[in-house]
Amino acid sequence: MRLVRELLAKSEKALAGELRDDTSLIRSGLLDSLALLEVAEWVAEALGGALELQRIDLRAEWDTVADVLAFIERRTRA
Amino acid sequence: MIPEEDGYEVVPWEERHRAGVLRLRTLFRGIAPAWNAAHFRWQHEENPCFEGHWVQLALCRGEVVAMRVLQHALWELGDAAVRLRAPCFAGTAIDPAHRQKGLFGLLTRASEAELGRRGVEWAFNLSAGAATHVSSLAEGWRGTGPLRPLGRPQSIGGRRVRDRVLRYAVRAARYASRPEPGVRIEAEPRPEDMAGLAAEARRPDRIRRVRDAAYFRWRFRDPSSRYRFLYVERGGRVAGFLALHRPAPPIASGALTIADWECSAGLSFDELLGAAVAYAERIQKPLGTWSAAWPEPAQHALRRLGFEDAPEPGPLASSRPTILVRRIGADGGDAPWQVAGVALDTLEGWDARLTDSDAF
Repeated sequence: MRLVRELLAKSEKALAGELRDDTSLIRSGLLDSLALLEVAEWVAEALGGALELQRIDLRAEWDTVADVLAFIERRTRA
Repeated sequence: MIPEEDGYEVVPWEERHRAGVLRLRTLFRGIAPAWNAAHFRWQHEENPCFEGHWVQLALCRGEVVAMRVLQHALWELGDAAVRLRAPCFAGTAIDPAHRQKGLFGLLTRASEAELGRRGVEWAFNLSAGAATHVSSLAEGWRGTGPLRPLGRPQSIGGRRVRDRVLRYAVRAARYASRPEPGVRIEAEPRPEDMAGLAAEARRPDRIRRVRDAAYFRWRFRDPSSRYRFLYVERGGRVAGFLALHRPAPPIASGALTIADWECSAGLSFDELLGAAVAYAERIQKPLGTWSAAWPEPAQHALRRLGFEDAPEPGPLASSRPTILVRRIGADGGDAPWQVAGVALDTLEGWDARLTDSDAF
């Protein structure tokens, strides 16, 4: 997920290793508020419609790259 | 004090941090330091609910670089039998040179831990920007749903709407010329009258600010705002009021917003709203409000008077104003977020008028 890599590149928070699909982004604090907003805007754009974030448990559903991609896939199918 | 590996310390407010806090606020708001200091004093220290500064600061080499600030607030539910002290997050700022370092989450968790230690069960945020909104949701907060801004341009060409505004304006002028006056427009609040109306018109199914005379006296002294007050008098007493807000210089904004209102039983919203629209047209200003702040009959009146939904800011709901709610220490719990049977995590549980304009 290129966007997440770019956002993390702006951050000085060190990654313990490579960014993997299962690297925690939210619970670990890797994504700060502005970066998380950018991810949210990207997801909304990918889904091509309004996104009601208050109905989403972001920590559970967006914590990793794999979670975010799975979320988009579920929403696209629905 | 929480020492952090990245060279940050998270510490609670001490008086010696005041200059650093004001510097950060000035940086964040881009306005004059003296004005900013006056606003900070008003917002916190002159607030009748003030119990001391509940502020968490991130320091880098001893300098304040980020903060989360709580404002004290008193709420009531039901028939005013239940009162709730629940502070509002108001004044998050992170120095641009220190963003993307995880400070938002760090300060939020420190603030919530402090609230937990003080025995506070609920916290709210009435004025979150988009980034704070998204990050708060990720920290376990809940949103009530959008407040649905309504706007009305400074003038509307439609004949039917113009006729309606004219009719209300004429009626207001007619009342004003009588010994028993109707709608009056004044520069000063009438705190006792306002508090009397607020006590009469409680909505027991919603959480609402405690609006006593001390609250009104403080609320309308906000140095960042200018107000005009419309009063409807009947039988020698104030039967309704409506407060119009606009930012005070140096903050630039051409719009008026409806900051607060109250109407006694039997008085029509149409007259008060029509007078507000007539005033806005007279000084050629657009007028705005939250749709969610009004009961349904008033919403119809707003539409009749030319108010329309504000354009969507984008596909992301976090860009729209909302109320954010946090049950302190409630991660993952299934218990409903209710107090006295009122659900706090839905808009239906809120009297939302107090989140208008200057976010109080």
